[in-house]
Amino acid sequence: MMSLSKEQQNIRVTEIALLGAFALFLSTIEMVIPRPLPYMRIGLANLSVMLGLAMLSTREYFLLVLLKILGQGIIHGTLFSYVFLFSLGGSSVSALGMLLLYRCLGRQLSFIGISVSGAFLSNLMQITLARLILFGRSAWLIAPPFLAVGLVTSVILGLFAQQFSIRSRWLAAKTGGAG
Amino acid sequence: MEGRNIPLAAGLLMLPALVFQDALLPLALQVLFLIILQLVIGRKIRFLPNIIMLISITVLNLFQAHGRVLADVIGMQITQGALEIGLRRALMLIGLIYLSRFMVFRKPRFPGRIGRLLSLQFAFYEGFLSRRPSLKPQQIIEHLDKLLMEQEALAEEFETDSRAAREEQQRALLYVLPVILFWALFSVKFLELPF
Repeated sequence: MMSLSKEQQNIRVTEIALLGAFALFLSTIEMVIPRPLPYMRIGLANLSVMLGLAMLSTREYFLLVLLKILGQGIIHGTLFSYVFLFSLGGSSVSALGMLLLYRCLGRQLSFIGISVSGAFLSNLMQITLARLILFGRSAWLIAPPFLAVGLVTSVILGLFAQQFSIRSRWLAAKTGGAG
Repeated sequence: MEGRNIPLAAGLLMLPALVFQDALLPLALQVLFLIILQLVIGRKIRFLPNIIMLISITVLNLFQAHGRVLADVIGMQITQGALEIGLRRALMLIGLIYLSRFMVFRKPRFPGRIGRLLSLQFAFYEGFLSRRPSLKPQQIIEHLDKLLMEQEALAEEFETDSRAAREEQQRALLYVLPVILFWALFSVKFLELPF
């Protein structure tokens, strides 16, 4: 693999940090959106991770996911709580699943499909953690509505990501118009 | 601890007092205190976006009826619970934004490559928060796109600023005061005052 010059490495650091900050910004914005149902959240911060799929290498992508998790933990004060564990578990599994799908299927799958898959994996992981840590076997009772809500919100986010990838000049500049 | 990281540490100590605040008036006072803190550290405050945010979030939350009915406006019931939840959410968001800005205003720096990424991430985050929000839903994508381009253009400035920032351990005690005041405001709710 060709090694990157110091300047090129700096450019990548900037892009990862910028997407990480964008994820924090979006998660802050999301706090004001009313939730029709408990636990229903769009997961706007994942837009940043999905954009990362289109423009970062695998290593850089996972650095971005780590930054998103750590940054959210620090800014929202959940770093030392079980919420952080849920975020870590859900985001890691979801990021891995989305990356595999994106690398294997590429353009055959839209951001809507990637978003739905990522949300499904994230929610499944969080239900598993809830079963192990908080609720025991009864955790599976919340699984159907939890997954159904996740499906709806991830379709909304996927549609937004799809539109963003089409209309964003910033992303086009980064991917050579192949966002 | 490196001097530039002290506001971040102080902010982290203040954070639980804000997040777990469930009494409305003390929360409003905490937000007011954070706004004053912004002025003390030399940050500009734009009041109009805050007022718009406060009103719009409160109104959005009114659609979820909850608790005693206070009024009926054009067929929509305004309930006490929904009003309080809306106000609390709006104040919490404004508070979190200003607390986040306070935490990262010295451009905190952490060791290692991940540390450098985190430092730059917080610098960009402050940049995002300091921009005027777009109020037109149809222009959200263009607005976010513009924000990304603007912030990226500032990257070099952030890095230079990060190298040039000076140590300030000797001023660490000054940061103890806001932490104590903030927790004092949090404790007001235990006095069982009628608000």
